[in-house]
Amino acid sequence: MKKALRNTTIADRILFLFLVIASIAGMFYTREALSQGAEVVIEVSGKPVFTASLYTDREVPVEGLHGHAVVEIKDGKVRMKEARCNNHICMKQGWITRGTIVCLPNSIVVIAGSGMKKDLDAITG
Amino acid sequence: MNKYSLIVLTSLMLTALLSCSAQKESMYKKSMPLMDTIVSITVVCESKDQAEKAMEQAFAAIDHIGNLINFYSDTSELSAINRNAGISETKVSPETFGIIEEAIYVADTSGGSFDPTIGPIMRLWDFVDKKMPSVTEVRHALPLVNYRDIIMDRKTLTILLRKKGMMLDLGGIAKGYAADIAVLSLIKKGISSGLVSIAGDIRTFGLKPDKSPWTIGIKNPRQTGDRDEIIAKVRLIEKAISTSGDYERYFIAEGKRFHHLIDPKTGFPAATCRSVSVVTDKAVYTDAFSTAIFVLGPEQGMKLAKDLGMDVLIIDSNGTVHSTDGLKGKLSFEKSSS
Repeated sequence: MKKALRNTTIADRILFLFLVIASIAGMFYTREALSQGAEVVIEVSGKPVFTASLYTDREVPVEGLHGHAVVEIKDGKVRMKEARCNNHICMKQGWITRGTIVCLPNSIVVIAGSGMKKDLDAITG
Repeated sequence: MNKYSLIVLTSLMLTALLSCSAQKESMYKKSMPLMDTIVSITVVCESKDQAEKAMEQAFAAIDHIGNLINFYSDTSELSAINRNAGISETKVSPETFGIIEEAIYVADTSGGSFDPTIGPIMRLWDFVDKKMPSVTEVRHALPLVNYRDIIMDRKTLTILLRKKGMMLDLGGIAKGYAADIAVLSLIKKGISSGLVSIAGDIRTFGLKPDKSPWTIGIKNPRQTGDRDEIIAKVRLIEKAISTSGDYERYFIAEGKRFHHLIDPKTGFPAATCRSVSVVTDKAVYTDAFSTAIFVLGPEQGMKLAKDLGMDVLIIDSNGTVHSTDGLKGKLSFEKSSS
């Protein structure tokens, strides 16, 4: 080892050190295309219009396809408080901590949390 | 250590750097409300632009199917068929014809435990406002339920319901069919791995970026909270899965559970299962056969699955789990909950 080191230049040693650090760093680097977390995402016609923490109480006005709606976040839960639609199925769903509330006529989707655990790709049932 | 060993070591580290760096392929996921539910598509792709274009096309394909067979829309082909019941044949698109053909196949194979002509019975039930029909109402509607009274002409792509008052309801098969169509659309756009989920009717193809199978959670039919509780996980490679359960749409009346999985022969909910999950190649079959097997019950349902070479996980009315051997090694159970 000492012989090998004597035969290397400073540039060699810097390069070697860089490669060691970079290869170790590369093992820990991951890029996630999917987000996770205790947040609320509101989408209208498939496009996100609002994102916030599930733990910050607030009322969020949302403009859907047919009119105004209000999403309420309180005590770590979320619900559709008001919606201009025929059957109010979305409002009848009540409070959720995880999952989705859908107002189909207004094309509004409220997603609480990620909806599923990190190791699952989908849920059936 | 000599200089050559140092060079070899450096080369190995360089290789490690390249192999451990960020993967070129990523997963992209998007959800949209379509077909009266949430549709989620996940694709594995190197390009975000390609992924988004492919998903857009797939969503459009699903929306198209949804519009053709919408039971509640006056302009759908399904409604036209139902309006013309007992009167005249209706010309339909190849997609609608295809769904009905598949529905008849499942009905025939399951001895009528799945029947797409169940419309007159389903109309009597309201699971949102908790209304159930009387025995008399059901008795009057049952003669209209018979898949053998669907007359199909392949040459002209026409459908005739033989009796007036007959109604097709494709709710038990259309989502699976649409998931299969969506996968075909994604493949046409150059996507080789992905997952399409339409209200829990799921079709997978290819593998994830790390070359692992897709992992699907099966809901606990008796979960106590509003968080999704998973009773089991199944790993899928090029397979579809659907689950029919008595907890999806139901109400409790006089201490009894009335759910949406109606036995076409009685007009009332089937009572021997809590949930049935079917795994096979195509989602059109997992969707429809999960309903058929639920109605058949654990014994006959398990036999049907085995005869057809499908895998199934049945949780019966007592909470006992039954599964086919083909799921061994692919299925793992979570901590039990009643």
